[in-house]
Amino acid sequence: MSGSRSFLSKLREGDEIARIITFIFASTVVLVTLLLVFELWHGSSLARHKFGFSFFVTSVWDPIEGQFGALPFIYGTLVTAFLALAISVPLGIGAAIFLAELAPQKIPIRCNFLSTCWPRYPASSTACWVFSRSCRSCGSSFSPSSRPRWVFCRSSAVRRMALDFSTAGIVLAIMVIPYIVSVSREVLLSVPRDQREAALALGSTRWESTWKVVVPFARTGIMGSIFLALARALGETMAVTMVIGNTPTISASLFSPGYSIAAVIANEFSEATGDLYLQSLIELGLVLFILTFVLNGLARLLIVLTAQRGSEMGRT
Amino acid sequence: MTARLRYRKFVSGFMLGMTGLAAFITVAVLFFILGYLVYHGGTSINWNFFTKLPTPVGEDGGGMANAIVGSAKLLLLASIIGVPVGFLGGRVSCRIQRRHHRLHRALRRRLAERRALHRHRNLCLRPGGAALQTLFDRRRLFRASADDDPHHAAQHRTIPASRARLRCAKAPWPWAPANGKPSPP
Repeated sequence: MSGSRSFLSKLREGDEIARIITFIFASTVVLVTLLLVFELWHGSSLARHKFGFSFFVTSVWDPIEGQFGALPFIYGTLVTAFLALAISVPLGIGAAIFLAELAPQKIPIRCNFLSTCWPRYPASSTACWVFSRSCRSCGSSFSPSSRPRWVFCRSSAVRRMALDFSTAGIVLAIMVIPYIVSVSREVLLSVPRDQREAALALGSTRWESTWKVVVPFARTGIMGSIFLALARALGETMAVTMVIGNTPTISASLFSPGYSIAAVIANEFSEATGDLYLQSLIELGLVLFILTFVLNGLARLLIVLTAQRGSEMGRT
Repeated sequence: MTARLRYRKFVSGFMLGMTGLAAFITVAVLFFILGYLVYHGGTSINWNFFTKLPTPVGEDGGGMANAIVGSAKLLLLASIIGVPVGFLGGRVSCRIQRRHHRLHRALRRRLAERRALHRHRNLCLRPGGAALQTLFDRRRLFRASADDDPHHAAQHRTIPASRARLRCAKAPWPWAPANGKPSPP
């Protein structure tokens, strides 16, 4: 077909124009990403030359002395993201299984609406709630404590949330659960009915048919939802900034304040003085990009390596 | 009811209960935060909130009109730029993926045929092959037709357990008679 008509006639009929326009827009997507990387790379040249690889392994962040190391931020980002996943994956997948397999017919219809609007739910409102929780000491001051403890106020006896890794992890978990639930539920619902029937006909219990047949069948899609959640948790800025404590330290305890890459960029970028400081922050952005890229690559690899036949359908 | 069955039923009930609990927790958190926001923020919602500009610190009144209008403008601009690029980019990437997928599918089907053939030979030529094959089929039932072509299985309904067994029994391979019967020509 393409050989029989000349380029000009195709151009006149509009096919070729449409194709070119589409191609331009499609390449924009790739080009913008490349441009982003280039800008980050170019904009951080001073810091890259000065610190080299030690930027990744030193943990001093001292704008006054001009010493910058990214390790505490990388650590904080990874810890909060994986803590969030550790909380949200069991909850999210459990909820998705319940909604897809077991819930009475009327519940999923309402939950469908909920699970579609919940991901749009602003993260900052979650963080607002936690922040106001953590700042509310017994009527005295407005300073967030850095140590968790049980506070028995006149009005309420609640665990006063401290600003630390664990709080950030919980807030992130609340934020990413909807992604896991809504995507996993869709994937579980699209597993053919016969799969369940076959398992039940062989005498498996309801849980066995779900866990050993339906979930493995939908596994690729479920893993896709988890990685979507991971990407979101890595890049989340505002909610984490509000609750992580903003202290560039590395400590094994989850109940100590920390910092994450996105948070430090949000906090300090507008107030950075001097080229080195600014370029170090830009390099942090590059680090975040690389981190996300590597983790997503590993995730893809994991899916490919563990793919079984029969679980292809949920591939996203 | 054997102890084993009782245990399995217990596990089933317990795990299903846990999924229900997980669903409850996730939805409860959502409603809690929503309720918290409405309870603490609902009182300051009035007409001025949407129409007035913020007043200096310490002064009463004022609203958030600038922030609301700003959000709307931002949304509009982002949509104008993002929607065409995303839509057309998605269209192209979908087409590329489909082409890639077709190739992949053909390859996978060849591999699956290969594998099925080898498996069948191995099973049927061994002593007690028929029994082994029955066992094997039982294990394989869940993926009965996904075996042939995964994509096909996703598109069409898979075979229910009973019919899958029948299919296996009715279609012996010419060089390996199942159950000792003579093979069809």
